[in-house]
Amino acid sequence: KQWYQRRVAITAGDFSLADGAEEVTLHQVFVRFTNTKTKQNVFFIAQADLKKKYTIDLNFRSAAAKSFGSVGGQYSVDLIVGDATLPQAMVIDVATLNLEIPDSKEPAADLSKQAKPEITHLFRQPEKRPPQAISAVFTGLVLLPALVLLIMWAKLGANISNIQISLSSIGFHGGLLAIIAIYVNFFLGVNMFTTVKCLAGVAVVTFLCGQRLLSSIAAAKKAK
Amino acid sequence: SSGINAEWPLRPGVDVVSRLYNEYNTKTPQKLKIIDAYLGYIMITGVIQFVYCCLVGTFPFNSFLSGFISTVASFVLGVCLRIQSNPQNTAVFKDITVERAFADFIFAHCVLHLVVLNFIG
Repeated sequence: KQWYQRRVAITAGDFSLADGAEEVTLHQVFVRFTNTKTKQNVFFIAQADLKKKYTIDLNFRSAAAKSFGSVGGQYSVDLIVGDATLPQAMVIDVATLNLEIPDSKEPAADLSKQAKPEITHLFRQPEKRPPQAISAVFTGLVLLPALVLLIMWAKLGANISNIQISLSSIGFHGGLLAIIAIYVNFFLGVNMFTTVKCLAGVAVVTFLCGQRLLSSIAAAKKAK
Repeated sequence: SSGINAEWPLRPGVDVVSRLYNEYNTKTPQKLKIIDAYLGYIMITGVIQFVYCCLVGTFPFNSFLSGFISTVASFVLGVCLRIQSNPQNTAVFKDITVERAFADFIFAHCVLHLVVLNFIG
Protein backbone atom coordinates (compact mmCIF):
# COMPACT_ATOMS: atom_id res chain seq x y z
CA LYS A 1 0.00 0.00 0.00
CA GLN A 2 1.14 3.52 -0.63
CA TRP A 3 0.61 6.53 1.57
CA TYR A 4 -0.44 9.79 0.00
CA GLN A 5 1.50 12.88 0.90
CA ARG A 6 -1.41 14.65 2.29
CA ARG A 7 -3.21 14.82 5.52
CA VAL A 8 -4.51 11.38 6.13
CA ALA A 9 -6.63 10.27 8.98
CA ILE A 10 -7.38 6.64 9.25
CA THR A 11 -11.05 7.40 9.62
CA ALA A 12 -11.37 5.53 6.41
CA GLY A 13 -10.25 2.62 8.34
CA ASP A 14 -11.31 3.58 11.80
CA PHE A 15 -11.67 0.69 14.04
CA SER A 16 -13.53 -0.21 17.11
CA LEU A 17 -12.79 -2.78 19.73
CA ALA A 18 -15.49 -5.26 20.52
CA ASP A 19 -16.00 -7.54 23.43
CA GLY A 20 -18.30 -10.07 21.92
CA ALA A 21 -20.94 -7.93 20.30
CA GLU A 22 -20.44 -4.80 22.41
CA GLU A 23 -18.04 -1.99 21.55
CA VAL A 24 -15.64 -1.15 24.38
CA THR A 25 -13.04 1.48 25.15
CA LEU A 26 -9.81 0.21 26.61
CA HIS A 27 -6.97 1.88 28.50
CA GLN A 28 -4.12 1.48 26.10
CA VAL A 29 -4.55 1.44 22.33
CA PHE A 30 -1.42 2.16 20.34
CA VAL A 31 -0.54 1.94 16.68
CA ARG A 32 3.10 1.00 16.16
CA PHE A 33 5.09 1.51 12.98
CA THR A 34 8.23 -0.61 12.88
CA ASN A 35 10.89 -0.02 10.29
CA THR A 36 11.68 -3.50 9.04
CA LYS A 37 15.34 -2.64 8.35
CA THR A 38 16.39 -0.61 11.38
CA LYS A 39 13.75 -1.99 13.73
CA GLN A 40 12.95 1.52 14.93
CA ASN A 41 9.52 1.97 16.42
CA VAL A 42 7.21 4.92 16.07
CA PHE A 43 4.16 4.93 18.32
CA PHE A 44 0.88 6.74 17.92
CA ILE A 45 -1.83 6.76 20.51
CA ALA A 46 -5.29 6.03 19.18
CA GLN A 47 -8.03 8.17 20.69
CA ALA A 48 -11.62 7.04 21.01
CA ASP A 49 -14.40 9.48 20.26
CA LEU A 50 -17.79 9.42 21.88
CA LYS A 51 -19.09 6.80 19.55
CA LYS A 52 -16.30 4.49 20.70
CA LYS A 53 -14.55 4.67 17.35
CA TYR A 54 -10.75 4.84 17.49
CA THR A 55 -8.73 6.99 15.17
CA ILE A 56 -5.15 8.11 14.97
CA ASP A 57 -4.61 11.52 13.55
CA LEU A 58 -1.58 11.31 11.33
CA ASN A 59 -0.59 14.51 9.58
CA PHE A 60 1.97 12.83 7.43
CA ARG A 61 3.80 15.89 6.19
CA SER A 62 4.82 16.98 9.72
CA ALA A 63 5.01 13.49 11.13
CA ALA A 64 7.43 12.38 8.43
CA ALA A 65 10.17 14.55 9.80
CA LYS A 66 9.18 14.66 13.43
CA SER A 67 8.14 11.14 14.25
CA PHE A 68 9.66 9.07 11.51
CA GLY A 69 12.93 10.99 11.32
CA SER A 70 12.50 11.20 7.55
CA VAL A 71 13.53 7.60 7.20
CA GLY A 72 11.55 5.97 4.44
CA GLY A 73 11.23 2.34 3.66
CA GLN A 74 9.13 -0.57 4.61
CA TYR A 75 7.19 -0.35 7.85
CA SER A 76 5.01 -2.93 9.50
CA VAL A 77 2.00 -1.59 11.33
CA ASP A 78 0.81 -3.22 14.53
CA LEU A 79 -2.09 -2.49 16.80
CA ILE A 80 -1.23 -2.88 20.49
CA VAL A 81 -4.12 -3.20 22.90
CA GLY A 82 -3.80 -3.35 26.67
CA ASP A 83 -6.13 -2.95 29.61
CA ALA A 84 -6.51 -3.84 33.27
CA THR A 85 -9.29 -6.22 32.42
CA LEU A 86 -7.31 -8.06 29.78
CA PRO A 87 -5.21 -10.93 31.11
CA GLN A 88 -2.58 -10.22 28.50
CA ALA A 89 -1.89 -7.40 26.05
CA MET A 90 -2.60 -8.12 22.42
CA VAL A 91 -0.38 -7.20 19.50
CA ILE A 92 -2.26 -7.43 16.24
CA ASP A 93 -0.42 -7.22 12.99
CA VAL A 94 -2.42 -4.84 10.80
CA ALA A 95 -0.46 -4.01 7.68
CA THR A 96 2.90 -3.58 6.02
CA LEU A 97 3.49 -0.24 4.31
CA ASN A 98 6.11 1.24 2.10
CA LEU A 99 6.68 4.83 3.06
CA GLU A 100 8.13 7.10 0.43
CA ILE A 101 9.50 10.23 2.01
CA PRO A 102 10.76 12.92 -0.40
CA ASP A 103 13.91 13.94 1.47
CA SER A 104 14.56 10.54 2.82
CA LYS A 105 17.55 10.38 5.15
CA GLU A 106 19.61 7.49 6.20
CA PRO A 107 18.73 6.39 9.67
CA ALA A 108 20.95 8.13 12.17
CA ALA A 109 23.74 6.06 13.60
CA ASP A 110 22.91 4.67 17.00
CA LEU A 111 25.46 6.11 19.38
CA SER A 112 23.90 4.74 22.52
CA LYS A 113 25.87 1.51 22.43
CA GLN A 114 29.30 3.06 22.14
CA ALA A 115 31.57 4.09 24.98
CA LYS A 116 30.99 7.54 26.40
CA PRO A 117 33.93 9.94 26.97
CA GLU A 118 35.87 9.21 30.12
CA ILE A 119 35.33 11.37 33.20
CA THR A 120 38.11 11.91 35.69
CA HIS A 121 36.85 12.65 39.16
CA LEU A 122 37.94 15.99 40.58
CA PHE A 123 38.56 15.52 44.26
CA ARG A 124 37.63 18.37 46.56
CA GLN A 125 40.51 20.78 46.93
CA PRO A 126 41.48 21.33 50.56
CA GLU A 127 40.66 24.76 51.94
CA LYS A 128 43.34 27.42 52.04
CA ARG A 129 45.10 27.45 55.39
CA PRO A 130 47.25 30.24 56.78
CA PRO A 131 51.01 29.71 56.68
CA GLN A 132 52.45 27.76 59.58
CA ALA A 133 54.52 30.73 60.75
CA ILE A 134 51.50 32.92 61.43
CA SER A 135 49.69 30.13 63.23
CA ALA A 136 52.75 29.48 65.40
CA VAL A 137 53.11 33.17 66.22
CA PHE A 138 49.50 33.40 67.29
CA THR A 139 49.69 30.23 69.33
CA GLY A 140 52.53 31.81 71.27
CA LEU A 141 50.65 35.08 71.48
CA VAL A 142 47.61 33.39 72.96
CA LEU A 143 49.64 31.64 75.65
CA LEU A 144 51.44 34.86 76.59
CA PRO A 145 48.63 36.37 78.66
CA ALA A 146 48.77 33.32 80.91
CA LEU A 147 52.32 34.29 81.86
CA VAL A 148 51.18 37.86 82.41
CA LEU A 149 48.42 36.55 84.65
CA LEU A 150 50.85 34.58 86.79
CA ILE A 151 53.07 37.63 87.16
CA MET A 152 50.12 39.81 88.15
CA TRP A 153 48.92 37.26 90.64
CA ALA A 154 52.37 37.14 92.19
CA LYS A 155 52.36 40.93 92.40
CA LEU A 156 48.97 40.93 94.05
CA GLY A 157 50.14 38.46 96.60
CA ALA A 158 48.04 35.51 95.60
CA ASN A 159 49.27 32.48 97.46
CA ILE A 160 48.26 29.02 98.56
CA SER A 161 49.54 29.34 102.10
CA ASN A 162 46.12 28.50 103.47
CA ILE A 163 45.98 25.03 102.01
CA GLN A 164 45.29 22.19 104.41
CA ILE A 165 46.69 18.77 103.67
CA SER A 166 43.61 16.74 104.53
CA LEU A 167 42.04 13.76 102.77
CA SER A 168 39.28 15.84 101.21
CA SER A 169 41.82 18.38 100.05
CA ILE A 170 43.94 15.76 98.34
CA GLY A 171 40.82 14.14 96.89
CA PHE A 172 39.47 17.43 95.55
CA HIS A 173 42.64 18.74 93.98
CA GLY A 174 43.64 15.31 92.74
CA GLY A 175 40.20 14.87 91.27
CA LEU A 176 40.45 18.18 89.43
CA LEU A 177 43.84 17.21 88.02
CA ALA A 178 42.39 13.86 86.95
CA ILE A 179 39.55 15.65 85.17
CA ILE A 180 42.05 17.81 83.33
CA ALA A 181 43.99 14.69 82.34
CA ILE A 182 40.81 13.06 81.05
CA TYR A 183 40.06 16.16 78.99
CA VAL A 184 43.57 16.18 77.52
CA ASN A 185 43.08 12.55 76.58
CA PHE A 186 39.75 13.41 75.01
CA PHE A 187 41.39 16.12 72.97
CA LEU A 188 44.04 13.67 71.82
CA GLY A 189 41.42 11.37 70.35
CA VAL A 190 39.68 9.21 72.92
CA ASN A 191 36.02 9.09 72.01
CA MET A 192 33.25 10.69 74.02
CA PHE A 193 31.82 7.47 75.46
CA THR A 194 35.03 6.46 77.21
CA THR A 195 35.57 10.01 78.35
CA VAL A 196 32.17 10.31 79.94
CA LYS A 197 32.52 6.90 81.58
CA CYS A 198 35.86 7.86 83.18
CA LEU A 199 34.50 11.26 84.01
CA ALA A 200 31.48 9.89 85.84
CA GLY A 201 33.54 8.10 88.47
CA VAL A 202 36.06 10.90 88.94
CA ALA A 203 33.30 13.51 89.07
CA VAL A 204 31.54 11.77 91.94
CA VAL A 205 34.77 11.53 93.95
CA THR A 206 35.70 15.14 93.19
CA PHE A 207 32.26 16.38 94.10
CA LEU A 208 32.17 14.63 97.46
CA CYS A 209 35.68 15.70 98.42
CA GLY A 210 35.06 19.22 97.22
CA GLN A 211 31.86 19.51 99.19
CA ARG A 212 33.57 18.32 102.36
CA LEU A 213 36.57 20.58 101.85
CA LEU A 214 34.62 23.74 101.07
CA SER A 215 32.18 23.14 103.91
CA SER A 216 35.06 22.83 106.33
CA ILE A 217 36.59 26.06 105.01
CA ALA A 218 33.25 27.85 105.37
CA ALA A 219 32.78 26.53 108.88
CA ALA A 220 36.28 27.61 109.84
CA LYS A 221 35.58 31.07 108.46
CA LYS A 222 32.36 31.36 110.37
CA ALA A 223 34.03 30.30 113.59
CA LYS A 224 36.71 32.98 113.22
CA SER B 1 40.46 61.41 100.31
CA SER B 2 38.34 63.87 102.27
CA GLY B 3 35.24 63.82 100.12
CA ILE B 4 34.10 65.28 96.88
CA ASN B 5 33.88 68.94 97.94
CA ALA B 6 37.58 69.24 98.51
CA GLU B 7 38.33 68.08 95.00
CA TRP B 8 35.61 69.97 93.20
CA PRO B 9 35.67 70.87 90.28
CA LEU B 10 37.13 67.70 88.70
CA ARG B 11 39.11 68.11 85.54
CA PRO B 12 37.32 65.83 83.11
CA GLY B 13 39.15 62.75 81.93
CA VAL B 14 42.35 62.77 83.90
CA ASP B 15 40.91 63.36 87.34
CA VAL B 16 38.09 60.87 86.97
CA VAL B 17 40.38 58.14 85.80
CA SER B 18 43.00 58.72 88.45
CA ARG B 19 40.34 58.90 91.14
CA LEU B 20 38.83 55.64 89.90
CA TYR B 21 42.24 54.00 89.86
CA ASN B 22 43.08 55.13 93.40
CA GLU B 23 39.76 54.02 94.80
CA TYR B 24 40.08 50.67 93.07
CA ASN B 25 43.54 50.11 94.47
CA THR B 26 42.68 51.02 98.03
CA LYS B 27 39.15 49.83 98.50
CA THR B 28 39.01 46.57 96.59
CA PRO B 29 39.80 43.48 98.62
CA GLN B 30 42.74 41.41 97.48
CA LYS B 31 40.63 38.43 96.46
CA LEU B 32 38.56 40.53 94.10
CA LYS B 33 41.69 41.97 92.55
CA ILE B 34 42.91 38.46 91.90
CA ILE B 35 39.66 37.66 90.12
CA ASP B 36 39.94 40.91 88.18
CA ALA B 37 43.40 40.00 86.96
CA TYR B 38 41.99 36.66 85.80
CA LEU B 39 39.14 38.42 83.97
CA GLY B 40 41.59 40.71 82.21
CA TYR B 41 43.62 37.71 81.12
CA ILE B 42 40.54 35.97 79.74
CA MET B 43 39.50 39.06 77.82
CA ILE B 44 42.92 39.57 76.23
CA THR B 45 43.01 35.92 75.18
CA GLY B 46 39.60 36.33 73.55
CA VAL B 47 40.70 39.48 71.73
CA ILE B 48 43.81 37.77 70.37
CA GLN B 49 41.73 34.87 69.06
CA PHE B 50 39.37 37.27 67.38
CA VAL B 51 42.22 39.20 65.75
CA TYR B 52 43.67 35.93 64.45
CA CYS B 53 40.32 34.99 62.96
CA CYS B 54 40.01 38.40 61.29
CA LEU B 55 43.48 38.02 59.82
CA VAL B 56 43.39 34.50 58.43
CA GLY B 57 39.70 33.87 57.89
CA THR B 58 37.32 31.51 59.54
CA PHE B 59 38.21 28.25 57.89
CA PRO B 60 37.75 25.78 60.70
CA PHE B 61 34.85 27.84 61.89
CA ASN B 62 33.94 25.43 64.64
CA SER B 63 37.41 25.75 66.11
CA PHE B 64 37.26 29.52 66.16
CA LEU B 65 33.78 29.49 67.63
CA SER B 66 34.64 27.04 70.35
CA GLY B 67 37.78 28.90 71.36
CA PHE B 68 36.12 32.28 71.34
CA ILE B 69 33.02 31.14 73.14
CA SER B 70 35.23 29.42 75.69
CA THR B 71 36.77 32.78 76.54
CA VAL B 72 33.41 34.52 76.62
CA ALA B 73 31.84 31.89 78.87
CA SER B 74 34.88 31.83 81.15
CA PHE B 75 34.62 35.59 81.44
CA VAL B 76 30.95 35.35 82.36
CA LEU B 77 31.63 32.67 84.96
CA GLY B 78 34.44 34.77 86.39
CA VAL B 79 32.14 37.76 86.66
CA CYS B 80 29.56 35.63 88.44
CA LEU B 81 32.19 34.44 90.89
CA ARG B 82 33.30 38.01 91.53
CA ILE B 83 29.77 39.23 92.09
CA GLN B 84 28.96 36.42 94.45
CA SER B 85 32.15 36.73 96.46
CA ASN B 86 32.01 40.49 96.86
CA PRO B 87 31.46 41.13 100.58
CA GLN B 88 29.39 44.19 99.68
CA ASN B 89 26.84 41.90 98.05
CA THR B 90 26.15 39.52 100.91
CA ALA B 91 22.73 41.07 101.39
CA VAL B 92 21.72 40.02 97.90
CA PHE B 93 23.20 36.52 98.07
CA LYS B 94 22.03 35.46 101.49
CA ASP B 95 22.28 31.72 101.13
CA ILE B 96 25.25 31.51 98.83
CA THR B 97 28.57 31.44 100.57
CA VAL B 98 31.77 32.27 98.78
CA GLU B 99 32.69 28.62 98.89
CA ARG B 100 29.43 27.68 97.21
CA ALA B 101 30.04 30.28 94.52
CA PHE B 102 33.49 28.84 93.96
CA ALA B 103 32.11 25.30 93.73
CA ASP B 104 29.58 26.43 91.12
CA PHE B 105 32.39 28.14 89.25
CA ILE B 106 34.49 24.97 89.16
CA PHE B 107 31.58 22.75 88.13
CA ALA B 108 30.48 25.07 85.35
CA HIS B 109 34.05 25.21 84.07
CA CYS B 110 34.27 21.41 83.94
CA VAL B 111 31.13 21.23 81.83
CA LEU B 112 32.27 24.17 79.68
CA HIS B 113 35.64 22.66 78.88
CA LEU B 114 34.14 19.29 78.02
CA VAL B 115 31.78 20.92 75.55
CA VAL B 116 34.49 23.19 74.14
CA LEU B 117 36.90 20.31 73.61
CA ASN B 118 34.16 18.36 71.87
CA PHE B 119 33.32 21.23 69.56
CA ILE B 120 36.84 22.30 68.78
CA GLY B 121 37.22 19.34 66.44
